[in-house]
Amino acid sequence: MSPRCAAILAQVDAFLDHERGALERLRFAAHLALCPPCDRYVRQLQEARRLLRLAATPSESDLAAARRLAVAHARPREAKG
Amino acid sequence: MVLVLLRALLTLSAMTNAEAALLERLQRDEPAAWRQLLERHGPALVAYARRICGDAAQAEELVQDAIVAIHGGIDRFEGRCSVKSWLYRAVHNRAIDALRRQRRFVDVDEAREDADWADRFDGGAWRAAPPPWCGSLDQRIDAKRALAVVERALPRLPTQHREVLWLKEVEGLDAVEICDALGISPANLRMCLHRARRALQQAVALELGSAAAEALTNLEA
Repeated sequence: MSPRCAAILAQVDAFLDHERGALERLRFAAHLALCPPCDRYVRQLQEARRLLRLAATPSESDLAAARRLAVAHARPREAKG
Repeated sequence: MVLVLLRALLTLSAMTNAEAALLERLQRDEPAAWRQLLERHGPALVAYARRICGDAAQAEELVQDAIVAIHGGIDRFEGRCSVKSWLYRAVHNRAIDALRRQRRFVDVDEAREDADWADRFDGGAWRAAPPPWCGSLDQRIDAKRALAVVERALPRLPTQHREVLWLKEVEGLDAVEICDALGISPANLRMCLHRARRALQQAVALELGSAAAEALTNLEA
């Protein structure tokens, strides 16, 4: 732990989104290598994002609803045409 | 003249050629184009609406209302944002209206969130390391378990956090598209995303504590 943890973690989004330059990313990574709490926190942030993506596949009900919408929305004009 | 050129430039920058072609067909009211639009974006829009309002039937209604409104206003759409942002914005507006009507809109309590975060530090250093998670990180959890964790964690988050996370992390919209969809500034988006990720970490931490480890074990059984 260091007195810089809070300030470092304020920049975490730029690190996660690959927005900063190589030098700044290196500085961030160096802090994580030396600071187990920050390292664990950033790993947990990354894991939470991974879980969100894993769980994000549209469900069967979402797919069925989308099919109904597509059919319903196209049908009246197809009939006219 | 300058305005016309500027508008054309904005249109070009916001839309791909394929999107521009699709827009033309939608404006000609070609049924096949509407079907294509809904087949391409429908499942993700319904999933997004369901995550925001928490109800499958209502999600379908919201997307239906959004599509009807888009159909009615298609001639006025000038392509200043991507088709995707435009669709999400239509769903977002209706979802927020519905949640507010039902008094289910959960606002972000920025002051409390920031104070809770600040409490974790003393002079810039962690007071205590974040507790480890069970069933994750060391033992990568699969989609079924992830779904169980996320289904319980997401409803803990304020509405805007859920929206920002979904559009950014799941749908992969870029910053401009998210700002267009939610009607917020880039600076606001940065702060929202920062707080939303922090809140997601907290919500998942609650799920992956010792009680959650038991639930995950039961899922396996």
